[in-house]
Amino acid sequence: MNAPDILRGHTDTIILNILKCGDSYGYEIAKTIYDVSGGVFDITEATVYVAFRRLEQAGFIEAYWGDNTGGARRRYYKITESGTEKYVRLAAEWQNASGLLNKLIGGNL
Amino acid sequence: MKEKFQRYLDRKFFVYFKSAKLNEYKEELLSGMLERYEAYKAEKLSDDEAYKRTLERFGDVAAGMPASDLRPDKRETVVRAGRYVIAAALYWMLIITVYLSVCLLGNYAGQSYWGVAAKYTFPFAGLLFVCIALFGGFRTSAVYKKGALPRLTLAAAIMTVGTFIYLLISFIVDSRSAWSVTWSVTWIIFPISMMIALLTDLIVNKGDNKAAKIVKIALLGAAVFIAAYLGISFITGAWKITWIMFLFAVIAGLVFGLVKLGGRSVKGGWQNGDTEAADLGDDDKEAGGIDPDEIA
Repeated sequence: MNAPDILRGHTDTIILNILKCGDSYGYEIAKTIYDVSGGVFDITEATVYVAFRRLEQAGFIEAYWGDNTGGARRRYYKITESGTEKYVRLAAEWQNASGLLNKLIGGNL
Repeated sequence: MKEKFQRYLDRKFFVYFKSAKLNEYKEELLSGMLERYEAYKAEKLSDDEAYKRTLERFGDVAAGMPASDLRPDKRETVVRAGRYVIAAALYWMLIITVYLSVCLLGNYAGQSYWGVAAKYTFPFAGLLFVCIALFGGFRTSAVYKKGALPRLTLAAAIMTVGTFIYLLISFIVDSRSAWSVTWSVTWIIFPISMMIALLTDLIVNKGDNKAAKIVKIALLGAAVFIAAYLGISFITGAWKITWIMFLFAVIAGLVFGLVKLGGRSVKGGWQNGDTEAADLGDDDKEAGGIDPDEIA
């Protein structure tokens, strides 16, 4: 399993983390993930929009329309209170898991 | 470019009821597509390449909507079906009018063309009808999945040419010789056309390894059938019966194709939390996941 495969399993957490830092939209989120991962994780818009719908229906994010730029309105997303709670829970789970993995894979047993 | 992306999205969602949610989702996609397209253009990609890559990134756009929000648009379906029925009715009325005109003119001139005209008119008219249905109807068909159309069209075009050649050769040979098995022997044109179609598919879609395997098996199957057909026909001399083998071959081929290819374009839904479902995998990209008509 390579890095993008591992990251793909945490798409929701990554998106929630980005939205925790500020409201954003599809293209910008895909670009942020690409830039921050140093070009390793090139998430497609297809994946981002599927995640949006899932998170929106679960009540973790909310959408609103932005200004008309370049011919079409942007649809922004913001994280909700329950979304923030969800993120905190997922991030803690990841911390635990990564700590365990570091011990099991990276450390001397 | 906005209009081009808009048309693309309209085509992708035309079978669904135009709910407010769907319209909002389409607008969101349009905005994202335009931004991605501009980003590719900034990387000095050509218009076509930027458009193609943008569509690849957005993958199966319908997968981004919950299934509960994608209700079939019954009115749209009825209207479209009605258009096809009217078009088909007009077509056959035209053919029958031409047929009747020729026959009545023949009657007026003291000649009876009723049988001969029917023999020449209706097979060609029927063939033309199938061609129009294939090239026209399937373009907007609800059953069309990405990647299927160009291949289907190409195969249909080759098979159509093959059928025309079959009819022409058969008519010419039949009218000029007393050979009683002309129509049976010339059937060989069909499997040959099919093999040409398969070979063309293999060459055109050479990057699609999964399909290449299937096409190679089909080619082998076609070759075996032709060899068996020729062998049995020459040995028994029963040319009038042995052509039926090809009908069984076509049925076997269709069943094989449906079983092997049927599941390829069907991907998991978003509800499963399968984020990869909406991604275009490498195989899909190589398979020509984007309709060239949409790139043009």
